[in-house]
Amino acid sequence: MPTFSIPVTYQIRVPRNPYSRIRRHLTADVAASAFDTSGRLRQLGRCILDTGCSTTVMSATGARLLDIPFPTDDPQELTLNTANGAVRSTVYDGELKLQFDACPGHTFRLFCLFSENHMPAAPILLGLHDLIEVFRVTFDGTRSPGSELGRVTFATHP
Amino acid sequence: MATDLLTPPTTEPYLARATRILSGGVRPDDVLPVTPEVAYAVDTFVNFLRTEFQTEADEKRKAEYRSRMLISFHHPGVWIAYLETQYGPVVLAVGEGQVGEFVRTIPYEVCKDAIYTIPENWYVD
Repeated sequence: MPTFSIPVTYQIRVPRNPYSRIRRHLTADVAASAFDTSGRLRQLGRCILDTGCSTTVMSATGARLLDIPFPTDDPQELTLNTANGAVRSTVYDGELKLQFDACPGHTFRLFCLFSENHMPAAPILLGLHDLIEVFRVTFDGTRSPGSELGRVTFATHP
Repeated sequence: MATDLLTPPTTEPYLARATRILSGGVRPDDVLPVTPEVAYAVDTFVNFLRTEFQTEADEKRKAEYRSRMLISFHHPGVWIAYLETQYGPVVLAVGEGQVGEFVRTIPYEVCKDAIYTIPENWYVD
């Protein structure tokens, strides 16, 4: 059963006062690689585990740039409820084949919406469906060296 | 961030430069320069770890944080292809046009270590 864990990463958003908790910018970043149309791995710097996101989302533009395959024959118009409000978007249902840097050699398929209106500056968001069908995801705030603000563990279901 | 930071400071065509770097010909001036803002951010992080968690950041951790800060400072919110080197991050292509052309043009065996990402926006102090 492949299992891996990553530290919750954080940045100091306002160096003048790093000791305020609201100025520690926490993200559960997962470094991953995606398979392109030729079955080769393209390294993505970071994907963000987003429990407020229903589905895994990648920009269609980004997928085209990196030659990551997705079906374009059935575009659908959806209103997506995003952190920035409701956004009308053209989306394509597809799958993303990923390998996580912390779990080399294991390939995972996640349902993915490829969105034409995904914010250009947004990385891949790992949403709940069907991430939690593939993994048991545990957030653990226990502090340890290198993981001062906790860790996230991904364990595949037996 | 100002758009004049979007192009690596070189007159060498970016695909030729990328090929040279990916073939092992990286030069110190290829690496993103550490600006005072980035140096300050790294120092702050190191001091924060020390005072808040009594943890001393080793060189590897400092380098990782510096790299993240560097790409965020120089290329916030745009697609880039870059390479992590022993000297620091080296940006190979910037923006959708260059990254797309980079992926289509450079043979995979040459660019398999390239990382494609959209750096976070630089924070406001």
